[in-house]
Amino acid sequence: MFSPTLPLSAALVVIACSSSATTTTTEPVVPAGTTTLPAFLSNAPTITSTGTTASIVTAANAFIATLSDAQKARTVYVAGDATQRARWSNFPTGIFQRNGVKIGELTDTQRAALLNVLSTALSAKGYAKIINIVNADQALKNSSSGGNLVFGLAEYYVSFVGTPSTTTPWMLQFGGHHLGLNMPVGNDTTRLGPSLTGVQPQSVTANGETVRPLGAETDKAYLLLNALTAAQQTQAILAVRVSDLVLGPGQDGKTIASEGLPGSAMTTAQQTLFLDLINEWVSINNDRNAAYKMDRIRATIGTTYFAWSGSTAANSGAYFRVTGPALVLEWAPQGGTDHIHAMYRDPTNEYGVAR
Amino acid sequence: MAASETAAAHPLDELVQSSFVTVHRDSVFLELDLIAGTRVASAFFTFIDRDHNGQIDAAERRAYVSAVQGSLRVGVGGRAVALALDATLWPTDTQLRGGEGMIRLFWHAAMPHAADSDSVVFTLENTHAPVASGYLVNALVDSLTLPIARTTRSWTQQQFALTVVVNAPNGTSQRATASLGGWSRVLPAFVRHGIYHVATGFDHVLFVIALLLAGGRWQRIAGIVTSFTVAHSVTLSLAVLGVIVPPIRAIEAAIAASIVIVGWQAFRVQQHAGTPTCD
Repeated sequence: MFSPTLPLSAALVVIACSSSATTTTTEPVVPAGTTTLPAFLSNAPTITSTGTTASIVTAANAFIATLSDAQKARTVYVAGDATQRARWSNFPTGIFQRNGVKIGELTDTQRAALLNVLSTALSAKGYAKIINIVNADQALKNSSSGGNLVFGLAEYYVSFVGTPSTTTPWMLQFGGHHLGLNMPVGNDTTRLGPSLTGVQPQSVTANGETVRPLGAETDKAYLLLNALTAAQQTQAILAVRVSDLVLGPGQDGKTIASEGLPGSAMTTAQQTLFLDLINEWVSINNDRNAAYKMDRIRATIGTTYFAWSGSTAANSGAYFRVTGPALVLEWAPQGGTDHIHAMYRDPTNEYGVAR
Repeated sequence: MAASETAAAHPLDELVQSSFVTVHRDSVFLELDLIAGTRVASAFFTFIDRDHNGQIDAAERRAYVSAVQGSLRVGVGGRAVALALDATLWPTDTQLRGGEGMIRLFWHAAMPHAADSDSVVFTLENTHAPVASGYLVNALVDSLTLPIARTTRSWTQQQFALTVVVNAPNGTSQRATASLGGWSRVLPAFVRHGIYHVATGFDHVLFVIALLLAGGRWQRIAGIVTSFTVAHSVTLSLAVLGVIVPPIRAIEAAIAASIVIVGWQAFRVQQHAGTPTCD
């Protein structure tokens, strides 16, 4: 039987051993049923993912093939199902009910097949980020009562909007508390918009190792902010209190006016830091499609804006956002640094549909 | 978001009120989304459920929307404009009570034409707070929105001012710089606006009359009127340019209070002097 404390990385090792990919991990594998925290991926695993639609479709269909008919019926939705594609949230189960099958009900074989879908669709870095968000949530569950809220590793759901195909667009959804990964797949592209990443706690020590699932995002943002001159900071900083995401769940189809400091007012060195920050989100996608997207963003970096709200001291829980023709990012700490909601949106494309 | 956390100023403790403003040439559209954090969702539900029967009926929805609308102050070019309700979207009672449901309210207002002005300031003030609230306000961009020259907000985001460029091609640039044109064009327009502003603002006339009633030599009266004009022009300019976004309610109350105080002073001066002095 599945135990919610079984680490996802344990299943990753199963995949590594059963595939031809040169995957290696030195992460300790925590056996099922133990009470210790699940193992984290402090470094991106070495996954050879081509990021081609064909490879993702093969992995997705292999996973769907492991499901019972009843499971399939609630996991695969009609392509373009507007209700299902927007059915994601930062909330845990108990407040928000996702559709699909959840990790907690999958057999070892099914779980391995699911992780194979994720590791095929995402970059190694993106895969590690997603796994670590899930594991941080399990750590949160282990350290709190939760009341009527249900979260943790077992409560992450997978669903498909459209049957995976190399010719007809479809979308992969994987989400739970603080995670809403939406990956529209076209015949030659994979996208990420809209996707929500979040984390709580921001930092977890497991098996003697401290992991910050979204640590690079905040570190790189402060790096950029502190590379700005006082005059640039004045332009970038909006002196307002921001209590949550502006374009979080339920806010599809909106384009907010850009504010703050445009890339055109940055030096080349600052633009490099800016692009590196943006890449923390874009690179969740597989390398092939992330590189394509970064080219589009680089081409419009002059009209891409960086805005900040809050303290300029490192890791002080400030809000920031990036808005431009090719992407929207938001980083919204929830009253401190330990609980983060973050958002990636693509103003040109939502759920695989051009805007 | 787990039950064990204790972070302050957290959306779990707050009603998040997120406004989206879209300014077109003829109309301005306002969307207000309200979502209560799980810890205040029950209090929020009870606030709307006036008869406390555990269900929100159509009349209670209407009453709530009316209360929200009454807490919004919308201005265009310094003048209050009326909101017309277009649509409301309500979650189920269960969603609302559980902190998942978002109430979405949509209004529009006419954008008064300002043929002789190149930019206009849209202002929004939101004082609706049945429980502790966190406010967000942002301008939306679509193919018809007017270019935005400037955006200002108060710290809490309850006050918002958006300067849009009106006499420019639609929607091409969201960040065009407002060009005010040459002085020869601007000055007559400002004089017209000034006359109109004073003539329609009865409070100004009353205030100055009250000051004059206090009397004094003509130099003193000239000084008083000039001081008032200069001070008022400075504050008006700062407000129009969005440098300051004053709380409208407090300002209006202060204006009324100042007239009372000046009137009382004038009354006292006359009592002491016996007769009005206008030498």
